[in-house]
Amino acid sequence: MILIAGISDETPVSQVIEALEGSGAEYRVFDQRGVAAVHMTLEIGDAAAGGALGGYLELDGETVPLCRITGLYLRTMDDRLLPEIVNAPVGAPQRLHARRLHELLLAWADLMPGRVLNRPTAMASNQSKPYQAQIIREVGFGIAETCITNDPDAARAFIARIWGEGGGVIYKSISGIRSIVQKVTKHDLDRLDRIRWCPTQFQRLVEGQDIRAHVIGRTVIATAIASAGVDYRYAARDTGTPAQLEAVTLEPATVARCVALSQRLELPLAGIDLRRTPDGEMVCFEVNPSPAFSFYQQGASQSIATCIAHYLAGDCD
Amino acid sequence: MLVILCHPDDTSALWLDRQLSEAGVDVTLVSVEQLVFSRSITHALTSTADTGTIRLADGRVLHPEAIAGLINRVRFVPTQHFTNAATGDREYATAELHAFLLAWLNGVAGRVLNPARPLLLGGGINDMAAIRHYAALAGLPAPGWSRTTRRVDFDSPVSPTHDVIVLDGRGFGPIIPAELLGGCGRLAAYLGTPLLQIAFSRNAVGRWEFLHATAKVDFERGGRPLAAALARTVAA
Amino acid sequence: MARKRARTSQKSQSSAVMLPGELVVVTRREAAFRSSAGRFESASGQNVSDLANLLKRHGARMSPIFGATEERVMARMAAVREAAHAPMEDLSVFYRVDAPPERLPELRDRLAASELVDAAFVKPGTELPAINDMTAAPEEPPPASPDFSARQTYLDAAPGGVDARWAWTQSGGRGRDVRIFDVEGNWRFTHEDLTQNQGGVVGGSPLAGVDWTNHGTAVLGEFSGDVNSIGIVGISSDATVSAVSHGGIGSAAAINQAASRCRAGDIILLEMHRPGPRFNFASRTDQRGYIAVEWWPDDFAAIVNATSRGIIVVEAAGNGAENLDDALYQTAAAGFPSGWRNSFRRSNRDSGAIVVGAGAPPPGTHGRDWGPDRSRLDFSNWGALIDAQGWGREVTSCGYGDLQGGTSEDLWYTDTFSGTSSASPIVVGVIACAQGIAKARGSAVLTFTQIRNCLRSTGSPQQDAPGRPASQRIGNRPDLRAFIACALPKRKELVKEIAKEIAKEAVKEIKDTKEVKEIKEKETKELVKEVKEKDVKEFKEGKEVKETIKAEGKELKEKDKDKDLVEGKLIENKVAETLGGLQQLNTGAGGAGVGERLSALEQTVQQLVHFIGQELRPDLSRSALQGSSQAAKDDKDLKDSEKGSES
Repeated sequence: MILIAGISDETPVSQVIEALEGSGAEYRVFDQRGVAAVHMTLEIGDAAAGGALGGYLELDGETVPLCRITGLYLRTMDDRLLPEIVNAPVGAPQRLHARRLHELLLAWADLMPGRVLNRPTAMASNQSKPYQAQIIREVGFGIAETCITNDPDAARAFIARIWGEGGGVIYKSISGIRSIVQKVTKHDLDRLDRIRWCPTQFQRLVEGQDIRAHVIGRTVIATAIASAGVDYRYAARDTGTPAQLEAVTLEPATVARCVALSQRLELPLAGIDLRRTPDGEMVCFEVNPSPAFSFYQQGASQSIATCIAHYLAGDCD
Repeated sequence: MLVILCHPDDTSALWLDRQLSEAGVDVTLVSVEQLVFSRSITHALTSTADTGTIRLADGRVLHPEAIAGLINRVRFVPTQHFTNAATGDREYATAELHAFLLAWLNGVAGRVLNPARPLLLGGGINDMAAIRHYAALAGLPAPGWSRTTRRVDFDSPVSPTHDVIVLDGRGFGPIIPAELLGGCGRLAAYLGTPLLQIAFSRNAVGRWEFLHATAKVDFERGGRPLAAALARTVAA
Repeated sequence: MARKRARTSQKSQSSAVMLPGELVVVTRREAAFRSSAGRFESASGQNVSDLANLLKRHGARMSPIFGATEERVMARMAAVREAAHAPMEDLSVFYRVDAPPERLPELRDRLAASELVDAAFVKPGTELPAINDMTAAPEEPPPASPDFSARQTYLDAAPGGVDARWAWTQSGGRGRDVRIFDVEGNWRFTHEDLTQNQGGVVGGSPLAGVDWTNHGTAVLGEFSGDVNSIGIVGISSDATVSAVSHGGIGSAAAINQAASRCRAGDIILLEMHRPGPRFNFASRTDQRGYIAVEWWPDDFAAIVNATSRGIIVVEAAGNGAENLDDALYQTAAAGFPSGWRNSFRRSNRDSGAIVVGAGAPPPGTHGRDWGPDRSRLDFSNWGALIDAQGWGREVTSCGYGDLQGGTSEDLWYTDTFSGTSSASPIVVGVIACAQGIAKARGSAVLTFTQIRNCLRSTGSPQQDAPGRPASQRIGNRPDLRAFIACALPKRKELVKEIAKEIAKEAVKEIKDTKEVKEIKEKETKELVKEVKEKDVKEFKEGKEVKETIKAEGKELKEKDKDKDLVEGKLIENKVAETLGGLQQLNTGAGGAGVGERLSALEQTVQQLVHFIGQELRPDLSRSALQGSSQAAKDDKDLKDSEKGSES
């Protein structure tokens, strides 16, 4: 049985549900909006039992033994921000219940045997882009030249060097909190003092073709993106023209590297952001552990959700 | 150079620093607070390597590529200097600093004990379910564990009789049976913490029970033999 | 090495006022030593036979100081560790060695040489302060004891007293729901004026001798004397008072036993001093060179394990006429642990105790003059670590019998209780009153940091005396009214103060034309009025208000380029931010003094902004909840948080 956990009418989740429905696989849905009515018991066996996982999930009037669940698609939002919870006082029963449930759910997701997209501990790597970059580099992808600094002089030197070579510099978040990628301008040089109290990330702007490679197990589905802006996610806002998407096939070496990267990060489902430079080098920016694949699926007519459903059902590697 | 990175109230790390210094090891103690309050932090990543410079307020300079080994005792990201930040910026800066520290620790050339992890900068795991699961899997006498949303359960206070430290599978502190020590080494491997402190209790009839494991090791329990072993493995 | 003091038939009888020295051993933690429950072994397999033979040869026995067995000590520590907000010392490695006193020095030397031992030192015996040598008047008391409370002028308003009488008008102001534990030799809990709120002796073996009982009884009377029409009245008579004797167990164990019965905010009083290194730890009849007990490692460990859990420890500075800042104290005594540092300098390490010196009462008290009011008394130790002073002379309390004597000790009163012994209970009473008021107001109990800060920043200041300048610090005499205003400011008063400061800042900041200035002042006055009106609501709903004002300010900033209005809204933002921060402070989590809050307020004028501004950081935390139309879906998908795991 496959369990889907998240907000059921969020597009990626609804698409996976639709794909599972179409495949005939047995599945259940834990919609976080209904958390108040859901209960969970998690058991860890003793040494004689080898620490075996047990327990059950009480969902929609059914008691589902956890050992029956062989696949999990985990796309939960922060339970503290659920509309049913967010305005509740600190010690309110519904808040405590939601927290306990999600703690147990995530603890189990990290340990359960079977196919999990994705385990919470593995997803945490995305909380640090340079940390991910170090791993990306080990796998053999190029990474953008990066300078993280709280020293305005060091930042100026980095920027000046790259500008001197005719290149561009962008700045963006180090952490998992998204920032809209911006190019450094002369105006920004005047406010560099603001970096003194918190190291900030500057990167050489890598020109080239954006490619999003979704890895599901050993399958890679790649999408090329064409846009005029610095950050294609905000192309419509920044340039007036939305990004254009197209399905592409990657060369085998890149495919292998994508799979290796997803395995190295223990993320069987991964949204890998690549850029193919004019020289043909493949530079990787980050690996999204909970990719909003629906945008690419619709834009390029690719069956990512179906692939996810098959993977969870054990029909493919 | 061996770096001990710890918080100012880490008396155990201070003890280790003293031991290593007295043994003639080239060791320097840096507090996490000093690191984040540095006059100048620069960390560069290219397709080949990490380089960087941290100029501490006391004049010392750290280059991650030149650190031969690091004892990692980071528990949290200090944010006292964010007091005057706007609320949204304060939370953002905390996340940014956490992310930076994780990459910096991962970029140290020498061996880091324990390796930093995205969720726990000091390494290891602190989820009770995971610890119990892996302890049982490692063959340690861990009792069963259960939690449910239908009821609030609290962990009972533990009274360890034996706190053992393992480093690369070798035991320090109280002597325990060989099969238990083997299990401790396996548990350390499962948790990704080559340096681990494991608490056992042994009852009046000699029955052993696994209580808990933590990456925050009390070095003094392992004493001078542990300090010497750390010097050999981390500074090597 | 006990000495007996000769007593005349007129003086009270006493068997000994000085205890023999203690040999304390600290084993290396790696040895995992066990010397209890019939064991003598090292759990880590180290050879203990040499140590065993050594002890046997000297007829000595080694046992854990802080519990019956090492496991019990560790279990106790594990149980309380969760409540500690500072690292605790490992008490399981401290041992007391019982041996014939003449063997202690040699035994110490040999123990210190053992591989299993980190430290071995002889601690001089805890001594009764010699300054209180009053004797009981022979006349029998009247059928009912008079009311002596008018002689307790230390209860009166500042600067002469600590204004306990004002505290009694406040809810909880007699120390309600506070526990006090006195650690010293002995007490007379049967005294006629110590019948209410008494917990009795709960640890140790009280030491025989009327000198010991007189001392303890006088101490108790100062803060615990019953509220009635006879005798004296205690500063914090509603507090429950118990006692732990160091007899038979030693000072460190006694402190730890008292701490085991305390909750955060409760108070332990250390009425002890002992000979220090000035005269090579020798006992002296003039007690010069006697210092506070935290200088010794085992006592320090017991104190810090208490204060790290929020327990307030009040410690007499000692009557040795010593400058505790002297470099002499930087040098460890023979056999101290290798990591030992002098806690008399808090920059080395800090026990967390409130240390009390002895100051002169107002001249003319009881017809006597001990020098200018609040000047250091000649016997009192002094130094940077002294947090406050209490009366070190002319303290009226129970015991001794010089004020009212006769044959029954239960009816004795004194007019002249002295020393840092009489000074410390006054500070204990002040703190107990404050904690009672805090609890009654629903605030968190005060921490030692808050208490120290307010003792140092309020109260009646120390004065010079010839040869004893105020630079020989014994601190201020507490003034409860000012202390409470510092430690527990009332919300309305605080908001008024803050609003005044904001108004001041607002006017200062605006560097424009007269017209703009007038507009600003008007707006600021309106804001101050608004803040005053909203104060209670805002503290209850601070978050809401803060967000509303912030949102309005942001909106206005975006819409309206008019500088005046923007600046006005910026001020509102600052108020909201500050109130939000103050709400946090006022819930007792921080509890800094008013001065610190105001300087924090001034600093909020300058705010740190990240290089990557908030406008570049879309809030994606609730993106999964957005609408279901296709266009919205597409837009949402694009902007969806490709988030990592929840933490």
